[in-house]
Amino acid sequence: MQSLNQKILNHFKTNHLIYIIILVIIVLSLPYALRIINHNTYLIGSPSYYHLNEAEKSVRIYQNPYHFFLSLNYLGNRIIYFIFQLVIAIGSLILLARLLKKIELDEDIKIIYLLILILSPALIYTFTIFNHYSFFILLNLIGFNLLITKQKWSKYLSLFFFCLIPFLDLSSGLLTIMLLVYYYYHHREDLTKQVIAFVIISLILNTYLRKPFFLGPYETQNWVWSLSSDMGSLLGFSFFTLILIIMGIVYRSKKEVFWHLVFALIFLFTIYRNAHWIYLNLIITLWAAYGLNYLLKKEWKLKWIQKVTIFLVVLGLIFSSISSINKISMLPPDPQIVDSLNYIKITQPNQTIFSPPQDSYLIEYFTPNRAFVHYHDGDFSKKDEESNLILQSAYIEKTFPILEANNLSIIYLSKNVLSEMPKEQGILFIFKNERFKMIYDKNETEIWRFK
Amino acid sequence: MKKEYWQLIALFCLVLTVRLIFAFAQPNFTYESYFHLKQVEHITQTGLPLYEDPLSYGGRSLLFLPGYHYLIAFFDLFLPLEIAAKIISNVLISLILLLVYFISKKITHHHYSSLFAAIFSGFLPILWQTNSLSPYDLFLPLTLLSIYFLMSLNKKKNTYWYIGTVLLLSLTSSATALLIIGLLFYLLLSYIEKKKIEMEEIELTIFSLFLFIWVQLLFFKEILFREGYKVIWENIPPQILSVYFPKTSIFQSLILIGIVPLILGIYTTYKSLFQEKNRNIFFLFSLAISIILLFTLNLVRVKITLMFLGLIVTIIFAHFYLNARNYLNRTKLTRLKKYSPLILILIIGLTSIWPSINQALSQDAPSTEEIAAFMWIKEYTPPDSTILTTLEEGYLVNYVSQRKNFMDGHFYLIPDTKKRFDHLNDLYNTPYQTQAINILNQYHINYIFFSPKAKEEYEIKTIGYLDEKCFKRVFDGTVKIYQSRCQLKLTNI
Repeated sequence: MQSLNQKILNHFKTNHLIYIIILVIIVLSLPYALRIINHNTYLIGSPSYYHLNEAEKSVRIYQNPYHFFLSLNYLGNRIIYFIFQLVIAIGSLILLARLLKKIELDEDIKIIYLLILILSPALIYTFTIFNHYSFFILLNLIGFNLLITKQKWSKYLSLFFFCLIPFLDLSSGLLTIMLLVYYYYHHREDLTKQVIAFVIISLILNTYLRKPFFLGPYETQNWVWSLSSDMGSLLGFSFFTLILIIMGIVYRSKKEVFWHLVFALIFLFTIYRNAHWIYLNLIITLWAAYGLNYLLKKEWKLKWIQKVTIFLVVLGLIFSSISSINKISMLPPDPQIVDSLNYIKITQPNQTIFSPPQDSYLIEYFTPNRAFVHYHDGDFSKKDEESNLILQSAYIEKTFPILEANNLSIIYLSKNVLSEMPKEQGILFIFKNERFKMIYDKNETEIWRFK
Repeated sequence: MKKEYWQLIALFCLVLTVRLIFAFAQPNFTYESYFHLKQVEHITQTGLPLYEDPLSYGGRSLLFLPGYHYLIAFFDLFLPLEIAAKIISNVLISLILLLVYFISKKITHHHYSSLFAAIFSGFLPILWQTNSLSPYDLFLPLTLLSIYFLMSLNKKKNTYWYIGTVLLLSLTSSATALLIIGLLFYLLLSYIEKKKIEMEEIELTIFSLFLFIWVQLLFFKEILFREGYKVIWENIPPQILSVYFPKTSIFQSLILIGIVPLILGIYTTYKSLFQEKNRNIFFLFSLAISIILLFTLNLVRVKITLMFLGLIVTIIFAHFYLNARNYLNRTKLTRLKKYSPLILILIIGLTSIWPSINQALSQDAPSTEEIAAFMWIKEYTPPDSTILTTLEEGYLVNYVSQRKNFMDGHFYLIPDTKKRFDHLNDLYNTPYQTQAINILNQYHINYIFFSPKAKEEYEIKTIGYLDEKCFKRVFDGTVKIYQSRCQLKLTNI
């Protein structure tokens, strides 16, 4: 007779996909739920507003398939945007589970992998903050799910999804080609060769169209910081996952040569774009799954220590997810920020606004104004230098020429920026000059006019 | 009881007695000890550590592991705090010699070589801060205890004892990471060297690792979130970072030593060392190599590195002594053997006991006059006053005077410590009164505490900008206390 635990486990294994979908819905809804509790119904994160802004322009599918997809919500309804994200997330996970089944990955490893993945901060980030990486994942998973079936029409249909990927950015196209080459190496199908050829053509076409190699960035880039979510990063791995990954790598060291290569390539990408941790997360979480499976399945001499260790690991993974959810839920904007931006929209509609880059996308979404500096600007380093000079210099001889040369008459300092600035120093000291006039001071946000 | 145990107990009593004599000969504690005294006092009064300190830096959050403070607080229930603190901290440090003896005995199975190792550890100069109160007092014996239990896993109950000690260690000091990294290093080297690894060792290492990280995350989540990897350097102002950590950076260390020679050097060392068949000695070598590596990479404080290495070396010494003795037996120098204990005692006297006593005599603690000045502040200044002192004296402002300090040696979560430290130096060094008053006003500092320590630290005889108009001398003695009375105001010219 089966024990109760065994029955529960079997029930979970049989219906794991349903439970995983429920878990995804809970995990991805939690940041929004926390925001709603704090009376904040705005979509999360400054980078999201870059994509929403682009989607509001009349975008064509060849310009950027992701923005085209977002533009389908032409009313700009926030609930629909949230549902979009949720659908991409659920769709991706179902397709991923299906793909793992097709490649005959051990059922237990698959379930552990999906559970760790859902709880990973990088996945929570990917599917709560708008970014093209989520769309890349979805397109690739649809493509491979179609390619792996036996029907010819399905394989031809995959072509459409794969060829769309280089339209996001060139690095995504390159990664897709690598994955397809790996698939071809294992399956040796002529059709796959054709698919690869078409994706290469699409990549060349996009190179001709001067698509960027990497889209973005839309946030501060700090490689070391981004490594671990327990050290404040929104994308990295928790300490527990990192240890499980190392255990998994040791356990599987000689079996995954190709994946080590893909891992190395994406790892290099992460140096230029921290957001590529999102891709890395998908791959190396599998090693973490092997690591956890080792802890679960290996016969320990000290049985109760094994149980306590597993309990600690599970708690650690949950703890890291909760921290990440909490941090994401507190990202801007909030009603106070939107209020201050509405003030600009009404009173200063045609001015270029000076603010540090983290607020630029919000300014451009909530007002008709243009912001001075963006993370994705080609001349970002020059503008960032000027921006820092404006914020930190206490000498009008340095600050005024920059403001005048760039025609900057409105200075927007949100509460997050102000909280990090030393009092009575830098621009806060210069504000005493008669050419500055404070026109807004509410909820710890300040707006100044420069004449 | 066996004769050898009587010898050991006698040694323990001797070391403890000498330590206590030194501890009670001087009435005060070393500067940082007052931070721990304050925490213990708070635990005794409220049952909880003081994580929101209204006095340090004029009010700040503090994050630390409270295991040690709870232990002292327990004894504070039966004895006056300062007596309990002195006795318990010295008992804990003296216990180290017993643990070194038992670990050495485990390795060598030889009484005298283990006894000599115990004597060396009992008189390790770096541990002769008899008036110091620090979580390391508990951390070091617990670490040795856990090493002992790890070496004795053949008895099942030792597994439970090991788990208990690791849990206590995780709650006492983050330096427990050294033990765990050492264990991981030991497993790695054993794997490379194809040495047999016991399953229990792997299991306990994995468990210790997860338990340690879990406890650290519980206590330090906020610091980790805010300061990231920089947490290793404790937000210490760059001006004094080299006092706590070696001067070279990770990158510099690698360049100065050279990545290849560093790796080859370690490899060669371990190759030659790993001819060693004794698993326990191999484990100690791994611990020592890992801590040297961490120290070279600028990731561990100098003090804890020296303490840890010192203890490992004394244990390894027992093994060396036995080998040397056996070697002498096999040569024509057998007669030397009977003089070897005598020679050794002479060496111990000159290289350990003498420096230890010197160390105990030259402890950096406040004088009675300085304590009296701090007491005066408590009696005669308004309760919300902020007092300017040197970095180390900051703890005394909080504990003895119960007033706000401008700065002390706990830098975690304090914004821009570099600038603050510069301002502290300016307030003692600047000759310009406007600059000084500007800084005093900015931080709402009401009193300047000018002690012999400040004179020595800043190499000054007086503070340059003091005058009768703006600074009233309110306390005069070896310590002088000045009240700041002027405000700087912006005027339209």
